[in-house]
Amino acid sequence: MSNLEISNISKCYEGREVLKNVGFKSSEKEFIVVVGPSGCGKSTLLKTIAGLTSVDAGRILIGEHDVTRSEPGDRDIAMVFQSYALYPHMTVAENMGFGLRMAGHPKQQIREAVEHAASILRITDYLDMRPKQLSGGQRQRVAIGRAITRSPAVFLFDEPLSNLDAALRTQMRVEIGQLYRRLDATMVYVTHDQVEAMTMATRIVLMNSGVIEQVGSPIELYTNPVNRFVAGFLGSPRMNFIEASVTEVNDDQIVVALEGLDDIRVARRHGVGVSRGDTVTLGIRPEEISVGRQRSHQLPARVELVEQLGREVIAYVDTGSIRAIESENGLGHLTIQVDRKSAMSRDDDIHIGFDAEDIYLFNADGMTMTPNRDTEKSPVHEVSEA
Amino acid sequence: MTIWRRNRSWLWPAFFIAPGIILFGIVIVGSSVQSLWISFFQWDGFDEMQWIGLGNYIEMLDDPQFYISLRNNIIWLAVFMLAPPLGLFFALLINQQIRGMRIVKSLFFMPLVMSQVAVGVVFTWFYDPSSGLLALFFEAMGATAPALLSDPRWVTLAVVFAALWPQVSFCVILFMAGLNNLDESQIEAARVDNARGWKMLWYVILPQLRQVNFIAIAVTVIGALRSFDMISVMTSGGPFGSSNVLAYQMYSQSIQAYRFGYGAAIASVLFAIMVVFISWYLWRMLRMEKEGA
Ligand SMILES: Nc1ncnc2c1ncn2[C@@H]1O[C@H](COP(=O)(O)OP(=O)(O)O)[C@@H](O)[C@H]1O
Ligand SMILES: [Mg+2]
Repeated sequence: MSNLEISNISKCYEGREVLKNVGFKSSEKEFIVVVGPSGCGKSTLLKTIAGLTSVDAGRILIGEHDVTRSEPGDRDIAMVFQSYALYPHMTVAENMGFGLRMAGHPKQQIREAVEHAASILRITDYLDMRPKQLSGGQRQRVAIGRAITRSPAVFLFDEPLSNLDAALRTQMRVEIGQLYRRLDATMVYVTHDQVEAMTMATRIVLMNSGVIEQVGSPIELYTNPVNRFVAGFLGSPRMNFIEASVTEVNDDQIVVALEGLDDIRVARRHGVGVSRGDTVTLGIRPEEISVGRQRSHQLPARVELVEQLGREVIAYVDTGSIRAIESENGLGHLTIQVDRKSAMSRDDDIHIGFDAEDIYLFNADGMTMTPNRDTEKSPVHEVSEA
Repeated sequence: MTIWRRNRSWLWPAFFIAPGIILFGIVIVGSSVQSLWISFFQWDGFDEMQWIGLGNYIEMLDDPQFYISLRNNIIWLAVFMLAPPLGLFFALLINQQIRGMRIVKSLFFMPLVMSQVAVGVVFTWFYDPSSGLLALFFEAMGATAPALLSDPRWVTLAVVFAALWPQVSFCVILFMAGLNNLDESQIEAARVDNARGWKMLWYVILPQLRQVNFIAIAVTVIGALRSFDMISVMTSGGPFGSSNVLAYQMYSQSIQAYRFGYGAAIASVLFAIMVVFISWYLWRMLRMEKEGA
C-alpha cells in the first residue's frame, strides 16, 4: 500500500529557515492537503518531497524506500504544476507519455497507458494537439493525465486549480476527488485556499511560516483548532476574535468578562495555565451567532453591511462596546452568518446572541484554552460528492 | 482636427515608422539598386560610365580570383558553422553554478567589446613567426613555427580561426540569454519525468532554445559571408589573393583598382547569395511567428 513518511525536514534559503522540522506520515491511501498562507513554505515542502529541492535535514520515505537523496525520477512520484509545465513542442500524447518514454518503456505500452489516462480524463480527442491549442482547463487535464500515465505511488499537486476560473475550479475539484477514489495512490495537494482544503482532504496539514500548526481531518481542525491561527485560517467567513479579560479561574472553568454582557463561563482545557486578570482572545464562529434573544448571552447591535449569498446571509454588525480584532473589514465589526430567511438590512437595530459553549478561548500565545468538542455536533458536513 | 481624429489609428504608426522606412529606403534599397545598375558599366569612378551590359559578369566567370574568393567564402561559412554549437557548449558550461565562472564569463565578453580590427591585430601578432606567442610555443617544443599568414595553404584558415573567436563569443551571449529564459517548471517537470543529462538537453532544453539557435545560425551565416575587416587587417587578401573573399575583392577592385563596375558586379553576386539565406531566414521567422512560438 502507498506509504509516505516525512520526518523532521528542515530547509534554509540564504540563511532563512523556510521549513522547520516539518513531518507527517501516512501509511494508507490518503488525500493530504497542505494548506497555509502564501509564502509559508508549502511549495518548498512539495518540492522536497519531489526531490526538486534538497533538504538540509530530515528524511523522506516513499513506499518503504528512503528517497531523501534520490533523483526526482527515481522516487515513484508524479507532480502537477500550477503553471501546468507542459512541453510546448510536444503533442498532448507525447507530453503524457514522456515519463514512460524516458524510463524506456516500449512504444505499445506507452500508447496504452496514454490512452487509458486520456479516457479517464476525457481528453482522448485532444491527443494529437499541442498544449497551445488547448484552453486552461484542458491543459490542466493534460497535466494531470501526464501524472496518471506514470501510475506513481504518490501524486503531488502544487496549487493546480489557481489559474482556473471559479466554475471550472469547482468542477476540477470534484474531478480530482473522483480521480483519487479511483486510483491507488496517496495525493499530496498544496493550496492556499481553505475551501479546497476543507472539501478535498481526508487529512489537512496546516502550515504557517515554515512550521506545521496542526494535522487532522478537516472537521477535526475546524472543530478543535489547537491555536488561534488554525481557528482563524479555516472557515469562511472567519471566526470572530474579541479581546477579553479573565475575571475568575477554577479547576474546570474560566470566566471572562465582556463589556455589556453577563459573565461568560467556559470549560477549561485540562492543565492549561491561566490566571485572573490575564488578557485572552475569545473566538466565536459567525454561524454560532444568531439573531434574536434566545441565546444565553445577548447584546444589541446595528447592521452595517449585508451580503446576501442566496443560501445564507452574512452581516457585519457594530455592537458599540465589543470590537472584533483582525475583523474581515478592519472596522471591528462582528461577522454573523444566518440563514437567508432572516430579513435584515443596513442600519437595522437587532439583538444578537450566542451560547457560552460555542466560545473558544486562546491565551496570549494563541494556544487554545477550551477543551476539545465532539466533531459530530459541528455545523460543517462532509461535502457530498457530485 | 477631425481629419486627425478620424485617421489617428494609422497616422501615429505611420509617423513612427516613417524615419526607419526613409532611411532604409535611401541607405539600403537605393544604394543596392544603384550598385546593381553600376555593375552593367565599365567605370573608373571619374570618367564617363560606359555601358557594357553583362560584360563584368562574363569577365567574372573567367576570373580565377573570383573562384578563389568564392571558395574562401565557403571555407568561412563551413568553419563559422562551428560557432553556434561551440557557443551553446560554452554557454551550458558557464551556466553551471561553479565558482570562478564569472571570470570565464568576462573572458567571453571581451572580444565583443573589442573592435574586429583590434582582434585582427592581436592575432597577427600571435601568428608572427619570429616573435609571436605561437612561435614561442613551437620553439618550446623544439620546432620552427610556420608562417601561417604568408602560406597560401593555411592563411584562410588562420584568419577564419581568428574571426571565430568573437563569433563564438557572440553565440555564447545569445545562448546564455536563452538559458536564462528557460521555463523553470518545464525543467522540473522533466526531472520528475526522469529526463537526465543528454535527454534533458535534447528533449527539453534545446526545443526551448530553438528560436535563439535559429538567430545564432542566421547571424553566423551572414557574418561569414560579409567577412571583410579581419582580412583587411591581417592579410589584405594576400598572399597573392589566396585569402581573398568576395567582400574584400569587391572592395579592392573598386577602391584600389578603380574598377567600380566590376566591383559592383561582385557585390551583386554576393548579394544574390545572401538573398538566398535571408529569404530562408524570413521564411522561417514568419513560420515561427505563425506557430506563435
Ligand atoms: N529558490 C528560492 N530561493 C530563495 N528563497 C526561496 C526560494 N524558493 C522559495 N523561497 C522562499 O521560501 C518561502 C516559502 O516559499 P514557498 O514554499 O514558495 O511558499 P508557498 O508555496 O507556501 O507560497 C518564501 O518566503 C520564499 O520567498
Ligand atoms: Mg507556492
